[in-house]
Amino acid sequence: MEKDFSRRSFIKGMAVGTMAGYFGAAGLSSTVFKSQLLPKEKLNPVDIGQVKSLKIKVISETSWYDNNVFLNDVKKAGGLLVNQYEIPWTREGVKAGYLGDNLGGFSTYIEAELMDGKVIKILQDTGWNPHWMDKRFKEEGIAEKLARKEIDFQVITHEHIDHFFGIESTTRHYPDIPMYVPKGFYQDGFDLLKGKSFPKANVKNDHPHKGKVTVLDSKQVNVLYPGIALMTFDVPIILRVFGEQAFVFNVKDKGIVLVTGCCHQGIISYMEEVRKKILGGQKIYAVQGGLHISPFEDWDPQYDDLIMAFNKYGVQKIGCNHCTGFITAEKMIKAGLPVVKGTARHMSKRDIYLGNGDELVIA
Amino acid sequence: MEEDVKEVKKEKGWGSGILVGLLVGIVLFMLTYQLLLMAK
Amino acid sequence: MSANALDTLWLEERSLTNLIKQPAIRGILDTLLAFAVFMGLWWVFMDPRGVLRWYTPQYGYMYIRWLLIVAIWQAYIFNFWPFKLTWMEKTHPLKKGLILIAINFVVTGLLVWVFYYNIFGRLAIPYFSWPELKKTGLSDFFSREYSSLAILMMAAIASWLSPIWPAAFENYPWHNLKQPAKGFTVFAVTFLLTTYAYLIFMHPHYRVLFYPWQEYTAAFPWWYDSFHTLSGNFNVGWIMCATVSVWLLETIMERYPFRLVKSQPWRGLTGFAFILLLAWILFFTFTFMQDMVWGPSVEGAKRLMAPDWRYLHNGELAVILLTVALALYFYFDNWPRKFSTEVNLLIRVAITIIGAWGIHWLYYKYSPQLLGTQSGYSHPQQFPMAPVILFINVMLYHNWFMDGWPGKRIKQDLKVA
Repeated sequence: MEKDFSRRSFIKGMAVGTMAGYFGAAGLSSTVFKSQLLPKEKLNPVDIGQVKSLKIKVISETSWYDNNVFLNDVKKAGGLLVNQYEIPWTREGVKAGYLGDNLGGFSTYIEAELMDGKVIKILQDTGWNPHWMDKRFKEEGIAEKLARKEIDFQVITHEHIDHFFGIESTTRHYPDIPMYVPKGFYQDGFDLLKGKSFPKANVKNDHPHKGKVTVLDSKQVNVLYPGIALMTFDVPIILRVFGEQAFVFNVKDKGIVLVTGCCHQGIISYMEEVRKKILGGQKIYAVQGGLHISPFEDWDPQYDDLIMAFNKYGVQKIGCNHCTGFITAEKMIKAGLPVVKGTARHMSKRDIYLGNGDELVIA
Repeated sequence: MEEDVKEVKKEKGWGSGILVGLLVGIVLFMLTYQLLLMAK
Repeated sequence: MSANALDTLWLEERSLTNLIKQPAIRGILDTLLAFAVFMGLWWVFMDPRGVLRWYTPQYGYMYIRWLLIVAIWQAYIFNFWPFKLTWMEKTHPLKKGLILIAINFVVTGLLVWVFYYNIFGRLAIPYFSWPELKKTGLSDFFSREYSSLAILMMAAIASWLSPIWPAAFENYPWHNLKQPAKGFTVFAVTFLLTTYAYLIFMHPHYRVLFYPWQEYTAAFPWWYDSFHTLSGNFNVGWIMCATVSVWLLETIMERYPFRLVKSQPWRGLTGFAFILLLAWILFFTFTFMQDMVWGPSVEGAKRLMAPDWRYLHNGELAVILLTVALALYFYFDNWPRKFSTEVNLLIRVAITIIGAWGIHWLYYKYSPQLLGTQSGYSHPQQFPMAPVILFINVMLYHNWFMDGWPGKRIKQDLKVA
């Protein structure tokens, strides 16, 4: 049979070849040539300066007392995507709770001594249940410090119920306290600051905030004082919250100390960002705060990945608590990670990690 | 249908078409790669 | 479709006539109609602001997955048995659709509530059963979530393996059996393979999901060393890509190129291999694309830096690709059809890829307002596969069960064999 050049055959061949070429190039680029084709990241670490020492006091890390009650509230409302301002949180009849109330809250008090000897006093977060937070603020002397305006500023790490809904416990003493919130705060959050109530969620603020509120942007290192910085992460969070910020301290002769609220961005990602963006970030000495791994004592193999990877970062002290979860703490200890023990006082359930009233000093 | 397929493949043009097509496909993927670099 | 086909489906044999003549208008109206029905279903069953709020997310996602596989069984495996094909041809599409959808819902409900919760989960493996997990002391919420994940993963694997038999193997070697013997045989074989595939690809996830690790009952996640995660999300990702590949080849690619292989079982085996090749190309390419835009994943990280989430996201991206392909196939008559097969395929693949970029952009921009999700790419309680597959389910109901009415309907004067 005579073979004629057929334009039709050529075009058909081109069609097949184009698809094969496209998918073949895709397949080869993403496997064999991947390392050559992936762009290298340009690093420009920021020198945030240093502090002499750091004292971190856990005012409250018990955000709620009965996991089942909390989860039932969430489940009845429709799951973890529901807006936290619309969930009817159970406030009474809870045996394990504070006077029957399931709600507690998270807050930390930090004293950072600058190189010139001045001590910067920071209140991180403001808890959930104002009755509980008032009690703890009084017991730890925070109420007095607030009333005397001794606290330099407050940082709200993220808009979650247990870090922010107890705002009137701060503002009743110090209504114009300078405040830092992360990018991603919803209008509801700003409204609550200004005194709006949300009766469905049983939250109110009878002491509107009158001071300056600074929204800190992500993708940059926000240096507040030499040795004290905040980083905001664009992270989608459960219960219709977005964005979390966390502290980076650089303690002389020790290294970087990270202090978080919940670390929803993930502790590994946080450490990786610090390594890339902070001068000296390769040496992370300590981590303190909630790490949000198994707060409901649930699990996911991803968390085992986390524990197995954690060892590589050379952290000397892990002052985790709150939403880290007991299962996580037990697994971390078993994996040989240096989890700091607590004293299980003031309604903290176990001494496996830092509890209410416990302190971590880095000097 | 199979006979049609065999018949068509016997005609000249398929091979060169495929070769040209492969090049086009690779170029198109490189364009996609550039788009992704810009999306970063 | 080849004239020498061993076996054909009623879906291939039916002859449809256009009630709305203009193809672009028909296509757009049909797509909008399907989208409206999807939004209604989403609001009633899934939306966190809606009525039942089952998108918690695994619980609602589980139902969406099983509705899909039951529809595949109805249309592809059982060829609409026990309904006579004359009934399928003559009954008004609205009545026919409602009956078939009702069966779809009931069978799904029975599978979950009777088979998984009370037979398989109670007598064999407890993590398939919400009530059984609760008895172990786990919270109600996570008992429901963990069991939902297991149940939906079986559906996900079944949606890859089940259609391979009618699509690639043309039901060989059982093509000469009559329904329901043919249906039961293909169902039994594919469900057996699904079960083994589940045990190999997902069961190890459950070894490490519980505390302490269930070392005696499940193998260590054997993919860990190469892929840096203990999570079964690694397998979910490529299996989803494989499912999408099956359907891309079945729809916009007209079973090309494996239909060029003359006889069975070689055609089926070539098809199976080609599906896997396409799946892995999609899987690794999507991983590469994510690494380019977000930087390489970090072992142990969370959210979009987590290796396991990236693998899962490959599946999510693949399903977005499939949605565009299915809309093109069902609502735009698999346009174009006028050129040679190869050129038609190239144009359709290009439309699918470009359309998928568009849908991806639209989804992540508008899903918080439309679907009640949180903004951002990676959220712990969010799986774009859930709403996207629900939309696919609606398209399948519309086209498989209702012949695309009111855009089209079956030509009434044709006899069906």
